[in-house]
Amino acid sequence: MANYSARSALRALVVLTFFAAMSGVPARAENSSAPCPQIRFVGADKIELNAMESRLVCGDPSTEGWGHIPFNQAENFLRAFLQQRGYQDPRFEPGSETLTVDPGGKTYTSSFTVTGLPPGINPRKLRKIRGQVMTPRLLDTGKAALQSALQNRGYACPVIDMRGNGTTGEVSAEVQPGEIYRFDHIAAKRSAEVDTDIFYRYEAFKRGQRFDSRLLDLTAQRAMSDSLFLNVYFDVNCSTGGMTITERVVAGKSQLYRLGFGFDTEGLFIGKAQWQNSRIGARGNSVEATLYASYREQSAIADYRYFMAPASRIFLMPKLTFGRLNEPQYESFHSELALLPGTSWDVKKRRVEFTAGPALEYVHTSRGLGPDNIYAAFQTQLELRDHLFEYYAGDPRTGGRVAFRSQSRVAGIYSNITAHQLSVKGEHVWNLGGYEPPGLVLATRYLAETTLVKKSLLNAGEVPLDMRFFLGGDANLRGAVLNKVPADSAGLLTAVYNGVELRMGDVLPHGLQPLVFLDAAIVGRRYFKLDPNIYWSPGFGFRWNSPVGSVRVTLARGLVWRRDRAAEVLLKPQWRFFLSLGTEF
Amino acid sequence: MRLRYKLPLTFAATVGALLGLLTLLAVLLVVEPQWFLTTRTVTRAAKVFGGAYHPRWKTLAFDIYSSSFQEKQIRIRAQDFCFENVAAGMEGCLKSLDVRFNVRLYFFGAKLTKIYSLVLSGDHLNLDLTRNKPAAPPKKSAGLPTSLPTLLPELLRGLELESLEADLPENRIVQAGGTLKGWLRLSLSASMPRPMSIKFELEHSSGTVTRNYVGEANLTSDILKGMPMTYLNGLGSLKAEGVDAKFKARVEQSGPGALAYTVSVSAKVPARRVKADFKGSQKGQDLSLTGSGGVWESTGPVRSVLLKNCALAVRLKKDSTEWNSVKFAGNFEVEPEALVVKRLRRNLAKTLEGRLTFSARSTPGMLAADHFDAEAAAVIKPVKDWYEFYGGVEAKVSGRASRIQELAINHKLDFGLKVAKFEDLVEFLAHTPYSVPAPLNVLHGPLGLTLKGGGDTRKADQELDYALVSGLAADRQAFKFEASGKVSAAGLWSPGRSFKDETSVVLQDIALQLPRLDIKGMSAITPDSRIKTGAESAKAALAREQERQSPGKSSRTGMQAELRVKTAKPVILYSNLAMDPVPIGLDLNLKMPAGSIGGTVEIRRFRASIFRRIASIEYIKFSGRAGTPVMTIDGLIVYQAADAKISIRLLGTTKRPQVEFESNPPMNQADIMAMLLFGKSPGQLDSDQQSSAANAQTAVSNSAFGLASLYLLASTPVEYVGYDPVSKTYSVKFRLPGGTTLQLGSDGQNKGVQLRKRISAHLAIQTEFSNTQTQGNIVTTLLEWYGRR
Repeated sequence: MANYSARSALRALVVLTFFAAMSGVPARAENSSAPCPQIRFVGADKIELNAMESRLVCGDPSTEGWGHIPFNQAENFLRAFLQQRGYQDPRFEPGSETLTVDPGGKTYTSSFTVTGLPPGINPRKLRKIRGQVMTPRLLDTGKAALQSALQNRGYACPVIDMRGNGTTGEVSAEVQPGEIYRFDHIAAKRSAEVDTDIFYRYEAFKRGQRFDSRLLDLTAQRAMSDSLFLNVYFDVNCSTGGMTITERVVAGKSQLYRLGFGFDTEGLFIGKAQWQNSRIGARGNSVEATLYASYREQSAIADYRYFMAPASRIFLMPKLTFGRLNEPQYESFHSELALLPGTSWDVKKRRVEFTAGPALEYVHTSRGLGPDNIYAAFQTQLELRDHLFEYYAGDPRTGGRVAFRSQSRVAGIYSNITAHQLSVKGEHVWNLGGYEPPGLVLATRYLAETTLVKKSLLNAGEVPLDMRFFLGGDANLRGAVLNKVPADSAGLLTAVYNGVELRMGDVLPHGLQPLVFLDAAIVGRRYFKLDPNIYWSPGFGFRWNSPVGSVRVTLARGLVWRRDRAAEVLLKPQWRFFLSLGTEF
Repeated sequence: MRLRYKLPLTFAATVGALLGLLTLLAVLLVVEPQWFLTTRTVTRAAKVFGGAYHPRWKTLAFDIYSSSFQEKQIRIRAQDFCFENVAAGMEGCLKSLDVRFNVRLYFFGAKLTKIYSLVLSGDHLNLDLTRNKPAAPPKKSAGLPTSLPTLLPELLRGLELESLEADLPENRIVQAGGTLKGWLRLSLSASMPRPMSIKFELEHSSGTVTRNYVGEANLTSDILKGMPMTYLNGLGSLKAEGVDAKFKARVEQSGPGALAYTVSVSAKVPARRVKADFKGSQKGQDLSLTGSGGVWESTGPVRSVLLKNCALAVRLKKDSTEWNSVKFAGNFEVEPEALVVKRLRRNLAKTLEGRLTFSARSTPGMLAADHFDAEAAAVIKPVKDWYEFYGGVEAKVSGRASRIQELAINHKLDFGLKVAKFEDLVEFLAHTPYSVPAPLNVLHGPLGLTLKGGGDTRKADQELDYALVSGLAADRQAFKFEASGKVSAAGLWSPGRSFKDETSVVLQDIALQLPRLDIKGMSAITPDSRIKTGAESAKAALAREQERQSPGKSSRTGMQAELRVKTAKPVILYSNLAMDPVPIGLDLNLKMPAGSIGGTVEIRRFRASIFRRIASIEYIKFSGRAGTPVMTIDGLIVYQAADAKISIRLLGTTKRPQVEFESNPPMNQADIMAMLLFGKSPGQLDSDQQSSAANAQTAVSNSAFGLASLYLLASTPVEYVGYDPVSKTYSVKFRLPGGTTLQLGSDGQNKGVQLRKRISAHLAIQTEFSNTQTQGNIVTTLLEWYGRR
């Protein structure tokens, strides 16, 4: 046990070291305090000029007329170059042969004052401005942050004037927010292949709702995620006549093929291959085939989404699934043919999706406890998802989602068992303090599920695997091995789980975000009945927003709070290390 | 009858007796005045006749001694003698007074002929001149004195002074300009061979300013030796805080009716030194003065101004001190402080030398007796060094001397500066804050500046014409132009004066090399004006505050300028970013401070490598619009692609340039952009390139690209173009030689929150909500390779 923990810790250390090395330690800077004999930098800070800058201040003998740069001209150039590096008040001492440049210290932003802001926007909540080195780029950053804050609150056409005081470090902004605009008419670009009304399916807002640039972006992202078009964007134009929104698309070719890769220590490499055609007919019906493979799970899914009308969100989806699960306790193969009508609608702040329909399932358990049978089932799913949760999915910071699922099999209706599965799953994220970018992000996720079935059927191995539950792993109880609670193949019929995670936002350099978390679960072998023991796992780790996606590393300790010594213990206390590329909380 | 004869006789006898008695008394008063003028009678008389001064004393003694019938010696001694005349503003006390003098009697009066001794001691004297009534208009002068004695007041002429001791410790004079307080000592002894000594110490208070002066002077004259006055010498000094002045003067009788003057003055005041030596003569109505003088400054743009060999000749009107004619001529030398440029390696000059002349004559008319006409001129002696400088000022003045503000003044000025070798100017300004910048600092040739002006000086509107001619060139660079202009001043003599400059520049031959720029590492070469430091920041804040308090008012300024620029032949710019030299024709009219630009800037036909092919830039014309610095653009670039001929039209404004494409055979805008960016027909593009082309086309149609960015986009192979239409920000990934890439964006911050984030061609990070059997609904982000078909 001790050896196992030590190995986990060692692996964590190695991985941490690897990522620290990858995070980009700058190469040792060459001493360039004198880019040329006639320019000499003094002071504690080393100034490195690039080739073009050096030519402009030192002279360029190969360019006619630019061989000799007078000191006063070099001084003007250097003022600009140093300003871009945060040195706002450099001193120049021209000598007979040398221009001595003392860049002084960098000017750090001491205050950020904004005038003209409408109520509801607090500039104090804008991080990464105060305390930062004052540069023209920082003013751009401040302007972009203010513009974003305004455009997210209906002020689609703000005018912002930024200023900086290089001596005192004061940054100020004068804002003319303009009018509050609402999503009204959106001019659509006609496409020869599809009806322009199909965009209603993707709209993340209601007409008449206050303008929010994120919701426009989310609408475009949805359309692109659905592979409807190569590129979709909404052109927002401000003029004296007001704001107009024009929808623009780049159709591209209709068939999309994708090959995705991820990695985690549970499924090892994750591969996903997808083919999609979302422009079948003027209604924009779609067909999709997906292959998914990890060490533990392999699946192939094909579906066809048929919409009732171009502007309709109601669809009918035949879906064919083949899958294989390979866990230590069991190995199974399943296939499913489902016919799922569904719809979705977007309200002011969230999207609601609902699907319900019959399915015909074939399950073959080749190892462990499980049936080898064919079932008819009825599946429902209702999901409520905040727009902002969806928008910030790549960097969770606000919003949440909750999904209710049910699956029923009734004996006699092409099934030899009666079983009903109910589950509710959700997660919510809060940006503590409301800072932008977030300083601290609190997240919670929860799960409550149970399967109503006779115990005898479970013991007989007649309950298929997808109606039994196994906890453990990064998706829920991070102090346990993936799907090892319980370690046997019988599984659970009731499980309640909640995890809380506190993650530092964009505070540390290089995109490193430390996090701590606590997961807790209470489970039962029977439906609607929970055992007294509580399984919990505190842990810590970090998230790294790498150039190729989010990398998460966690180390958690699985523990058992034995509230009843006589009760069965399903978890062995242990350390668990987890590393993933692409998985978010 | 007897009575009739007796009465007149009696009357005559009485009158005769009385007259005789009076005559006897008068004779006795003259012969034996001590019988009548005693201390008692004098005291009584002083109180009666000097009642207005309220004289009072502790002791008073009066003695008179008749040394002959005419000569009388008088001695008055008093202790604690005080007087006061409130109406005259006069009050004082003397601790002791002892004066002994001689008076000569005449038939109708008496004259003071000698003061044997005069001793005055303490205590104080106060004089309030502000209470005095306005002085009566001066009597008409009978002309200048023609002999030394006539220089003295009538009372003192012929007076002999033997001994004088005066010690007045506390004296106070109140006048309109402030209060003078101080002590005064006078000392003269005929028995000792020394001059009359005058010493004083003064404190002058005016408002909160108090200055102290210490002065002394010695006067010698034969009058002080009891002889007729034939000369008067004065020698003295005056000291104060920062002031040290000395003078020496002599006036003497040089002949019958002729006087000779000699004056020498030197003074040091803070930051300035003054010295003057003059000799003069006066004979009859003619007054002449010759000499030299100068002012030396330790601060300011001028180091010294000297007047040398000056000659002043004044002819007065007969029996008057009013001048009839004045003539002045002299040489001047002005030594500038090297144009206030520090660290100059060589001197600009030299002292400016020249001649100053002035002549005036009285031209009385019917009513204006003090009317005069005058002419003045200052001509600078041409300077010939590495530069040439000449100049002069002439002025004509006429009017009445008593009405200076109504004088009619006409002036004319003409200055010129020429540099034969521009490199001399470059060397002169090298290592100074005004060094000639590259690439101009390698040019050779002449440069000339002239300034001319003239007209009625008193007019509120004045004009100054100037011209600048450049003939600079070197290798393939040239900087030849002719600029001429006029500075006009309106209301020059009033506080609300304003200036207007109108300059016209004809660019004869301009060809300039631009610096070698890299697309990678391109930095802004001018500081961002949004960031200001120190006083500059406070000034900007103040201007904003003023603008906020009274919008529009602060923008009004007393200086306006209008600049018209025309090209005789196109300006040529050489740049490493352009394949051929870029010809530019200018016909511009710039107005400041409005900042409006009128006219046109036309980039004429040249070839350039854009979008990987040689394109013909037919023209790009920037036209100014009234009242705004933003110019409209009209340009046409013809691009011959593999399968089509594309015309790129540049439209819009410099602030928001728009690009429209036309093609033959016709294609839509996005397809043309695809062909331009990637050199392929639309059907040959991969999905990434199609997306880039669409983004670029949208960014272009939204005018998100500036002109510089458009050029970069056209001249550099593009790998990807991203565009956020809400924030109007773009990001472009350029493919640079050597396989490197360059990412440029119009803002410093990407949203960073996208469900799909492109990394490179066919590679993206895709975040999606996925549902797996083992993990359920999760959010996963996969590194994804993608394509379309």
